[in-house]
Amino acid sequence: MIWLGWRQLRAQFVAAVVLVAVYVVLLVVEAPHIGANATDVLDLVDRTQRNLYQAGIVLLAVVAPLIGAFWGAPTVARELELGTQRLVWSQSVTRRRWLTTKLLIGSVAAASIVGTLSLATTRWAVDIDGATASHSGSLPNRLTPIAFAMRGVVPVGYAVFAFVLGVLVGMLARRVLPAMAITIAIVAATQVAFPILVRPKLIAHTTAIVAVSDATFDGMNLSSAGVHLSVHLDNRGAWIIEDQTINAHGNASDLPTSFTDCIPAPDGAGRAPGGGSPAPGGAKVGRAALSACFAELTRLGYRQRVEYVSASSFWALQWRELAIYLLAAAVLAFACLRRVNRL
Amino acid sequence: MTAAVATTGLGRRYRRKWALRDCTLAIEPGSITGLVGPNGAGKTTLLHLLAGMGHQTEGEVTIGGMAPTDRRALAAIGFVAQHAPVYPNLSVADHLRLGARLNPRWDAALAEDRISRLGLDAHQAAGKLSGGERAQLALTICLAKRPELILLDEPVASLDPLARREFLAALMETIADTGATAILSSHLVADVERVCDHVVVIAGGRVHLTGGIDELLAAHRRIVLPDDGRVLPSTCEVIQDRVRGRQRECLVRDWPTFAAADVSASDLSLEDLLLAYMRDDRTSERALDVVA
Repeated sequence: MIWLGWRQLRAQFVAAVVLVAVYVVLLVVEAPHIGANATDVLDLVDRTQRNLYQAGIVLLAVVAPLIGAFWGAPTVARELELGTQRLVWSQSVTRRRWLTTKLLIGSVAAASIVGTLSLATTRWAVDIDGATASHSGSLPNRLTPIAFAMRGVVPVGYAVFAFVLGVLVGMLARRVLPAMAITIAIVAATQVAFPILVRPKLIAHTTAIVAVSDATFDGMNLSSAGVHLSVHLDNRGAWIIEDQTINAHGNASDLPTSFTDCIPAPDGAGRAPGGGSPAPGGAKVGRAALSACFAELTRLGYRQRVEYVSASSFWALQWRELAIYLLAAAVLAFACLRRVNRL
Repeated sequence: MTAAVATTGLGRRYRRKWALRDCTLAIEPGSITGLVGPNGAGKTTLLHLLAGMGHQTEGEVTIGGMAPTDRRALAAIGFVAQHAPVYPNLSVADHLRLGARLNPRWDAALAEDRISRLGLDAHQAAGKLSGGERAQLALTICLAKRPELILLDEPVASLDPLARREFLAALMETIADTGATAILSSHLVADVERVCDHVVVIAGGRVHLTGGIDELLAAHRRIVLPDDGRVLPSTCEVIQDRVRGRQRECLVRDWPTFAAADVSASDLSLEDLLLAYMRDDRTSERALDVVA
């Protein structure tokens, strides 16, 4: 039975291995060489490496839905479409053993492919994950939702989950194409919903009260809803869950009008009167003006309350999320094995 | 090696419609039974239930005393589904390897011998085989499994007349060698006549007739008599009653031997017999009316 399971997956697996090999070779060739005490890390990364960094995130985001759709969904649905289940189920192997073997082989194949991808990516990006630079932007750190499930062991959980889900959907839909579409939709929805709804609940948060100053100021978001400030933390690589302004009484609050009137308008925007137009020669003057605004804000008792997950929680969160996905895969596999005798 | 096949009150419903109902059969070990009936009669449903491919809505089915999905029963049953499904991407050799890997009693010599005699290229993808070659490949896998019960659903439907004859001859030979029990469905009476010793007629989801072909032929007569409202002997069952002009033609079971100048009794062909039983509207009530 192992032979048959492997024989039916062989072509797709070899194709996947070739693609992974190409990617790994690219990573090796384009490895960022960064000394341990490089200060402005991002400046040492060239355009190709930046693209490769983004490509790694995209690749690990799409690999799970693709495995679910192209490996998982056809596993049983293709047999039902061709009628070949009547050939294989009339051999001397029970349906459950047949399906157990196929689930195991597919899961191991998916885990090894995605595990390799993730290992290569994680190691390659270790020095530049979360890198920031004063004038060339920043890269997402590995604890933020955009990169967390594309590093470490979590991608393996997603891949196994997606594969088993695909098998089950294929058994229910009984046709390959609808099963592929449904699988992609469910996996993608999970990938979006999980970081928002579940992941923050998996790990303890830390709260920090930070006074806004030149040193801690990170950015300002001007929108119709008002002005929103965000600050840096000493804990580099932390995942910031919430960053809100509180007043002297410790309650969440809007910024006082004294502050919003104080801040200079963005370049060329010609903001409301009272703010005045920024002096030519720019950023420095704006910065100095801002500094005074921050000092006034702090004097009035306003602080930023930041709720975050510490960078040191990365691996604890990785293992917990992996466990959840493997558990979900096990539950789905159990449902598959129950279902196969009813087909 | 033989396996006793028995069903009791077996029924299978698909949504609202019963595909098979109230099917009680006892297949004699070592017999070759032809399962005949019009399209949609329930032949495939019955074979699927026997092969453990489907689930009955009611009733029981046992193969050698076990449920067909039982691991030991599974090893004893050889089943070739309608249209002889094979994996299009796997080669002929891969299929034999599949059989060898999945069956403890696999007869590799028999499989290879059959494939070479059929002239199949072992490296050819099964998806490129003709319908007849595919049927032969599927039958080879079935036979090399050394089953005690062989179930074939329309095995010769895709074969030309010559291949059909050879296929059935080869099947007969293997069955004779191993002493297996076999049930094969067909809507062609000629195939059944050539290889089967027993027959089950099924129509509208119900079993209309079952028995040994020789016994059934011996028990039925075509009776021709004048259409004068005469009552037939109550010991016989009227299967079919037709008036043609002034003549009345009846097909009866258990016709008592008695002589009357204007009544003639003659033997039936198997085809006439089976076709009479295949008619869906044939009911015993109607037969009783005529007798009364």
